[in-house]
Amino acid sequence: MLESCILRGTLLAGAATSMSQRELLASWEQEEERSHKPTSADVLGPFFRKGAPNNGTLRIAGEPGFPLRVSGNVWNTKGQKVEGARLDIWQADHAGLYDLKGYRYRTRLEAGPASKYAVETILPGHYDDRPAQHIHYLISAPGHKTLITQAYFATDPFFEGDADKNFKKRGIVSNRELIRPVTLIEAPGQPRASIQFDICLETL
Amino acid sequence: MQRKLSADVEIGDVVFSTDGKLLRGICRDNKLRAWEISSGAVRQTITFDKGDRGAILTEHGCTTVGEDGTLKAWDLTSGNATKRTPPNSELRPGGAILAANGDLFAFYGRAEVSVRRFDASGKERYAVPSGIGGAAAVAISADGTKIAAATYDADVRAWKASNGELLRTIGELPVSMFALKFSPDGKWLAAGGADRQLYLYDAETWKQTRALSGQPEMISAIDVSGDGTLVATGGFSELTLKNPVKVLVWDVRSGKPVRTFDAAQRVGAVAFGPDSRSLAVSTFSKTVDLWEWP
Repeated sequence: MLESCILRGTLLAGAATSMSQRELLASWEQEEERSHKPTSADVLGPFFRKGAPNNGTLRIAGEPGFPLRVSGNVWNTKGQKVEGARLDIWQADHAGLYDLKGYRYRTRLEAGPASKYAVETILPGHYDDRPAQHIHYLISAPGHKTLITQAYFATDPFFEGDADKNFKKRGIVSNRELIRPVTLIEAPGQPRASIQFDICLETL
Repeated sequence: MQRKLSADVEIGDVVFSTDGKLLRGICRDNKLRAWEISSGAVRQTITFDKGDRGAILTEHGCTTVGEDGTLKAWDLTSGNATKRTPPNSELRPGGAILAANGDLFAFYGRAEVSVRRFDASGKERYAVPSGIGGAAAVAISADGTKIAAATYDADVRAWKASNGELLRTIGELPVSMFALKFSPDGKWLAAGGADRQLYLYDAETWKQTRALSGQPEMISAIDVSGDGTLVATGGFSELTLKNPVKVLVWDVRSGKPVRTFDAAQRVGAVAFGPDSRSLAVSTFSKTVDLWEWP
């Protein structure tokens, strides 16, 4: 979030020639307010499994699925980094199936010293009964309200190329902000997708 | 032998009347219908209030939650809402289960779930936390002394119904339970869910006494026969809710399935007849399968 604030500051500074100081301040305040807004909740879903290992690499050699990096920061509504946040993250495999006997595509991470987290995984598969690709999150941290949410993908064919217009389709996605833009990282011979999913927890 | 009871809308939860002459079912058009088993004819229709949701049906009655969060208990004979709690927006989303003595126990919340007890006059007696992620299943013992709830965080909790004292948190289950049912004598609790196992717990010590494998799909519905000797389980395919599934009837003593029935798609409810020799299977379709055996 700090990085994005700096980025926003740069952009705003660049736009200063066409904005009055008052407009600039109002815009900055609006951004600040939004940046401290807690991440929207979503349903836990029926397929949570307790006891996942702390594993930053969920991608399994030889298994199908387009490589995906998911990363982000964990903040709170006061704009502070959240130390000791635990993130249960789980998803369906390429075929749209959850592992309910083991821990494939499941992890329980601790956000690092800078309150950052990252997971190397694959784009989750689609399944009939909930056909938007998604990744589940259960995030807890001392002094904060536990957050249950999900990340979705703007490139998902489910949104028919227009997530703004179609995010309410079939009532699956609870809030537009949970649909994240997807970027392509073009490493030689190893292209992979990437999303940033920052978390903002409510303080108790 | 298989028979079918039908309606012109989808049917969800089903329960037999205590005399076994009727099967009651919650229908998607916000009505409760009662079919006469002998003829298959609909003999009673109760129309819930507009906007009511979350209907839960037991032998004692039916509950719904109104748009304003009013909990309602419906008398199955008169078809009237005989109890209403004051409106409370906190109680949506949620549902309530009715005890034999008229108490209502509400389970509400999407993230942090709580259970509340309302006495027969509609007065709130307590509210206690009950896990996170939404209530996946609730059950009450026939004598109304114990209640249990499974939440999607994979915990099952049991409380003393009178005062909300937490009797046990069953935290050892790795995945969520989607169905709970007390035995008729209240001495044990059956639980089943995402790992396809049928678990039996002693309802005094809360120790697991059985973990039975055999249900091919995730378990979404459980009933215990009136004589306490049989448990029925039905489920849903992990691929799609539309896939056909199996319904198993287990012998409690041996821990083995003794009957297997086919269901066209995910099972919403299973209900034993009072003679313990018939089973109604509801699949959220327009027909309920009624299986009978000698």
